[in-house]
Amino acid sequence: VTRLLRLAAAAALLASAATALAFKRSPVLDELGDPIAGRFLFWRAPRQVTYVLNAAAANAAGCAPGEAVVLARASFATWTLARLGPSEPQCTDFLFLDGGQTTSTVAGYVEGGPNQNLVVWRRGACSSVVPAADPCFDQGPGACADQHNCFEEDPRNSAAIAITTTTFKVSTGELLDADLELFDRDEASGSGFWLTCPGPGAPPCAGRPDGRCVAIDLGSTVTHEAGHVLGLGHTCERPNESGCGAPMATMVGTAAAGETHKRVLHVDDVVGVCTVYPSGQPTPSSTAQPPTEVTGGGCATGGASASGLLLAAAALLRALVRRR
Amino acid sequence: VPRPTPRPALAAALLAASIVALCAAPPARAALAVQVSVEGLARTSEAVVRGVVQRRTGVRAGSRIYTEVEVRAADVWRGAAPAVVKVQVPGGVVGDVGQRVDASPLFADGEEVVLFLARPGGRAWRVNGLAQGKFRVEGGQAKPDVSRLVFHKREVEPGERAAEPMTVAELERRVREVR
Repeated sequence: VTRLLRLAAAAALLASAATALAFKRSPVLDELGDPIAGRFLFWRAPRQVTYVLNAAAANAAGCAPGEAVVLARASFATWTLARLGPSEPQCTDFLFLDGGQTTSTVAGYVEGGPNQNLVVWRRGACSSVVPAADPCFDQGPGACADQHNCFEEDPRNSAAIAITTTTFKVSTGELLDADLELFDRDEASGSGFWLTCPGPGAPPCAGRPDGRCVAIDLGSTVTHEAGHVLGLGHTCERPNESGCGAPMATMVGTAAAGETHKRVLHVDDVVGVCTVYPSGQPTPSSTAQPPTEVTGGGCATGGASASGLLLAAAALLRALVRRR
Repeated sequence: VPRPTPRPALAAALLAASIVALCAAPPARAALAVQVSVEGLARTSEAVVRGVVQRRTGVRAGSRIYTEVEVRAADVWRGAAPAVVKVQVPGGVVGDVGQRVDASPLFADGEEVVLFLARPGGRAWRVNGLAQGKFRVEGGQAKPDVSRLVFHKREVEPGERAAEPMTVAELERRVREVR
């Protein structure tokens, strides 16, 4: 009876942990743009992803010279240093490696390379800074951005602030490349958004940044986008939506002007990266199996993988009970 | 340096989290954006069309992949557009290589859509406002696919309405009323 009670207690603990956690992984999209059930994006071992920075176009009003680069580096490092508490060991062996600065402005991926995981500050909207006669407009989306270091993805409506482009193998979900483009404010063309560096405690900007206020926090922006680079999706779309288990998580899909808290990982973000890239353990995925539909159970995912995890959970519960 | 041995409690939490992640509805990647209004989209678009997606083709162009989406225009609400509009949409699949550009809208064959279109440089058609500039039409309702956008909150102008779900009739009225 005692053994059963312990087993029940462990199961309850596991169940309660499950309901409190909210992070999600990014699915692989097929050629139709539909998510492939049970197949998620991930970086293969050794899980060391080198990024390079091109901050030549970072505006000087929001961040002191060099500050944008320092803050971007710290934002990537935040994920590498993930741990559940001050006394806990790092729980992931994923490494974002700083590859230094570059003058490259080319995002995307070329088979056979060379390729870089680029973080680039774009200078102005392409529609504002590139002459209409430029041949780049005939060369497909991204061509003008890459050739003129401008922000192209939003032809007319300054709606997008930061865009991440990921390249992956459809058959496995293995990530091949990831690039982050930031639409920082270009005062000459009047396009873009004020990305700022001052952190927690700084007041929201009322107008043009003065170096002491927060407009759109660069640290929160890069930390959030780096989570997408890792293969994480949105914890929830709105912090106040029903059932949002972690409204303060970095990976929540809404941001308010002046907020800076997404610089610091919430426990849900930590569990997310440490689940996908646990120290010394393989990434849980169903990529070895073709996706299968699970019907009637409400869990639309790769059957083999989900079953495996459930079995593993059961084994863990048994082990926990034996230890006590 | 030896790796620390995972603690049972942590391992339990990670396993539980794995299950939750795999059982969750498929999530999406995202780009950071500010919300735009229907009127703002219309003002900055060269054409607004209602039509049906006929075909999609993945195209590799250097380091980029895009999808050429052919839409048969049933109605043009604003501006001028050809009967079949070929729209270049960032991201797509060529062979076993996929490229996803966050904030870019997704399309399905046979899907009825309303598109806000621009031609940067006067050349190829692109979706204006990316995912906010593409509405899926179904059962009299029009819905933009903005689930992959992270919004920085910004109020739209008084009297205007954000690019959000609404009836097709309201969407058309708002587009046609823009001067």
